[in-house]
Amino acid sequence: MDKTIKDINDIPHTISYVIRKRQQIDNLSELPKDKRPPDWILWHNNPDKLTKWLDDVLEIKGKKTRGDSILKIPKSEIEG
Amino acid sequence: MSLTNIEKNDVDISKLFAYKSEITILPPGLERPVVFYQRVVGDSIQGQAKVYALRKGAELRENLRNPKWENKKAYIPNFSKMKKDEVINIIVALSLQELSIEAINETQVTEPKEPDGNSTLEEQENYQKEIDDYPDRYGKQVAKSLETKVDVLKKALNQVSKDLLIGKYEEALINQLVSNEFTKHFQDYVTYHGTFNSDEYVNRIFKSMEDFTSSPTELRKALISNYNKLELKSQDLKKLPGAMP
Repeated sequence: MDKTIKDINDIPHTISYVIRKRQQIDNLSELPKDKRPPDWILWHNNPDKLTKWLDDVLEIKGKKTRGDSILKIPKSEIEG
Repeated sequence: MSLTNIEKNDVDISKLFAYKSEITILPPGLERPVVFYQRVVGDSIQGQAKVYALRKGAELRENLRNPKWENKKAYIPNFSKMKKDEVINIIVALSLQELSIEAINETQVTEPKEPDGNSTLEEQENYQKEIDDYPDRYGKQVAKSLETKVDVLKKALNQVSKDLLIGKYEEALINQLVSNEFTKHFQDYVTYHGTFNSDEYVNRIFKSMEDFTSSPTELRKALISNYNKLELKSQDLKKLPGAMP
């Protein structure tokens, strides 16, 4: 651990980038394999391409995405 | 360095953690050398640097577009006496950076598929060969795309009048000058914020941005150059094992 880094703002942006990228990859790995973006999009440094890919594979374009989904939780999974 | 090296096994992760160093310089006018401590700045300063550089770039763009600005001639020479061919060639040269970025963004070369765990040694050899050949294939594809773009631009420019061409020339030159201005101010900002007076990395060695920008050019160049060496570039960052799927 580097003791000269006393604040979150001191963390070099190169390290923050790797952490964020790792989180992004982990999140995208939750998708079914055929819906995951290919490497060339993931590493393109162009967020628009990634957004478009996700919109396309998740068929978000033109659909209402807020307020029209219901999360069903079986009673057996509710504690208490 | 190749345009896009996709080899994953030649990455030294320790480079990611070599984000600080010290440099000893004898600043002009001083008798004793001074030790400067530098550390790569965080996200916040990086973001501020972009905003700062964008504002400085916009200032220059506004001045360059103002026909009455007193310093305009120092930046933009009078090119009305040039031949049409010469003007076209200069516009193309000035547009190369932008066209290259477009070509890179549009180029898609399918990456080799990694063989599964049961693959034979020969299949693994073939995969490695494809990985080794990838930068060359990618580079050729980008070069081909760039060549097409240059041809299209040249043909389009040939069809417009010289007056219109001069307008385009001026605009291309302004874009280039503003891009240089952006880079200059961005580097000044991060270097100023990333340079300290001790290995505790608490107090900056320059009292203010003005103090840094008015320091001797030689000193600033040395500090910016050393700071740039500390920053792992995004192309190398991409290959770090910690960032790979």
